Amino acid sequence: MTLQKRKTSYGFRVSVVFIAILAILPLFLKNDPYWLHIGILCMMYSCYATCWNMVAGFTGIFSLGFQALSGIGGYVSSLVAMHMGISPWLSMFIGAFFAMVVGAVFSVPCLKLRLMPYIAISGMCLGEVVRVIVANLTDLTRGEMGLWGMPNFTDIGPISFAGGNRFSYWYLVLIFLIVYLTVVAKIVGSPLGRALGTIRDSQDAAVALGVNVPQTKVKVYMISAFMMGLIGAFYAHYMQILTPTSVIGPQMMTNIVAMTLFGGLGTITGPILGAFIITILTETLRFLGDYRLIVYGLIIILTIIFMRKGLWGTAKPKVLAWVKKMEEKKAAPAAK
Amino acid sequence: MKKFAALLLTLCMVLSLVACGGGEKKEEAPKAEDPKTEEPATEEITYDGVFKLGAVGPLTGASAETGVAGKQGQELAVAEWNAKGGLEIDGKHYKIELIYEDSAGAPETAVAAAEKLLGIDKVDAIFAETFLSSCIIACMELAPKYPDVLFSTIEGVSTVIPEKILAEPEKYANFFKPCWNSDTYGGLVADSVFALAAEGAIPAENKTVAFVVEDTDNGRSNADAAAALMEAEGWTVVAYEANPQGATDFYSQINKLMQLDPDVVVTNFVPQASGVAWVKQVAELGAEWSDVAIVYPTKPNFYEDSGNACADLFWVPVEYDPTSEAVKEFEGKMQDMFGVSLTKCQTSGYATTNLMFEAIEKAGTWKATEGLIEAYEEIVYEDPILGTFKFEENHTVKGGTGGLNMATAQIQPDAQTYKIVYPDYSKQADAYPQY
Repeated sequence: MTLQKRKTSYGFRVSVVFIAILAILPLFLKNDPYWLHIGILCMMYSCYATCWNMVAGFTGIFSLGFQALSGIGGYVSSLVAMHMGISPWLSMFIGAFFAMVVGAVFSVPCLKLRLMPYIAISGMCLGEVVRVIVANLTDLTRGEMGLWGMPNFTDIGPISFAGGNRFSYWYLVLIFLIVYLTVVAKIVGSPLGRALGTIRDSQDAAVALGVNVPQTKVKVYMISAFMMGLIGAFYAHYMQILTPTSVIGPQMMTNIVAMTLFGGLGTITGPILGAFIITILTETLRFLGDYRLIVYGLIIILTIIFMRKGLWGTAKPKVLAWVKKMEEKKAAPAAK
Repeated sequence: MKKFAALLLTLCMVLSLVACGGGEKKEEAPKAEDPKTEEPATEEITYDGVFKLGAVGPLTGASAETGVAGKQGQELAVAEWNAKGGLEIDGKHYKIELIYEDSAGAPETAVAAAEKLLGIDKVDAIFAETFLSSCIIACMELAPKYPDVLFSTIEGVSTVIPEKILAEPEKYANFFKPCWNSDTYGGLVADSVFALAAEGAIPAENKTVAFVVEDTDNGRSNADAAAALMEAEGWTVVAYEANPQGATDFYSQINKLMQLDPDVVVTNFVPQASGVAWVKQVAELGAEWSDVAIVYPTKPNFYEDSGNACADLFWVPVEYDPTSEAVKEFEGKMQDMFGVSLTKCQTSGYATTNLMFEAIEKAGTWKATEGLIEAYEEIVYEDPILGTFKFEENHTVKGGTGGLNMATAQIQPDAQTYKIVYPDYSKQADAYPQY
């Protein structure tokens, strides 16, 4: 088996086991809305981190205003559902489409920039501009007073989403996560994914190899923007309240970056691992009171010092080597 | 070697942070043997059970100052009630256990924290969330899922909250907001300006007003309510500037406003630093307009830090008289227990917690469905500092006559004291023009 095939096969098996665990878990947590909510947040942040990782980790575009796209998805989906009476199942795609359009408008001029600091700053500008616009369109968005009244997802047969039914939302966000994982895995394994890797490592080399760098960057940015918009719409219909600070403020971006770097930038598993560990950690450390932020910060600093590729980025070669060893052990008696 | 140095630096940083956090020790509840406190040794009291009170507040993040102050007020109330035997229901005494969680100012974290308190800690009543309207609105959705539990806030001025309660009264039957709404704040600002303009204390030849507020639900909702009322009376809003919370550089905005030359500028900041910066920069640039300040002159060191720059400033709302015996006594308790100066949020946390305990004792139960909701709806709680708490149909408390204290004051030329100038029934002095 080639290394690539082994990686794919191993990654696929692990993903299946992971998703199976997530699918079974609510049956044990059915009467525990707290842990159901934490699980939903873990999966939701996994989706956020996966989207940013596709742009930053796989393509090298360190755009720091990415949370604005999820905010656009959330606001547009909510407003369309509230004022036009459209089902959230449809309005979330309208929200995601708007996020993609804004992503395109931003990325066409800005992603021509080649150096990371300029891209980072232009991304931050996008985040701030969107936040300020949303905060000031008070007649439409209610600004910092908070947009509320967006409907829950409409029921599908016996599956009820009324009253923020955690059980149903768990499976809905799990579907999001599966789709996002599949999309990212497909892109990474495709010629587009290889082009992204080349752009990340050396834009000059990518041009020399015939990659249309600006077009490829815009393409991946738009795909990520659509996915961000979609999960932003999920957030809106799940939480039932949107304020510019809570969904478009810099804190959201800080969380996404911390989760991705902690888990492993440029890996499929890393951001998900990071999102789960950091979300659960911040909850389980509550008993420490204010000191939990120190512990949280310490863990992230130590991870960055001693595991520069993040948790999964560092562990991955060792895990693969172990898998290889196990497979060779298994194959050895058969050869005899 | 590099990694070792990095680790060493990290540890130094953490240790220094922990050392800085040592100040938190001031917040610990006083021990029984502490001579400063009158609380008797808790061992002497025999309780028949425990009443668990949960609270979710912004203990970290941009609004931490507010959240921590509210928590201090609540802790004082709990300590005092436990000292006198806890909650008394049907002759039995229940010790009050306060469990606090941090919302970090984010709605999803606030909901998670509230779910933890309700689902894991099994609290009997909850403050969720204590201050931030966006978090309160998110937590409101939990109320129908826990109909036995009474939900309260400490503050939260957004009109969305009573709108939701009025729209679905059965769904939010167990949710109460013991605080007025932003339209009350705005009403006081507008009424004060009208009255003071009529007296000539606010020259208003052009009837123009500008708003400089912080970009939060509190700042915007107060300004929006005041602007709507003033526009209805023929005033023109010439500028509406919203700044990030904590902003301290207003030079460009003051210059812009000086060009527009409004009669009145209404400012609303929660952090003291913003208020101090505003009044100093206005004085430095020599702007001449009537300045109506919302919230920030209540901060403990505002006068000291502003110097003469705050002289003659109008400010709303005056919610308590700092010279009253009740306030002095409360401030003394805060000093003894936490070593901190008095803030409005401490008084709110203290009063709303006392209100809850009074209602529980009156109802004879802490179960919302067994009479506590009715007790809340009927209670008239007189707080010696803040005034009268009486819930209206929308489960919020009104401000002004017959409700919570609200008045407009003017800081005197000595820049150290203030006098109430509106409304007439609590007037201490006549207002005079700032310029």
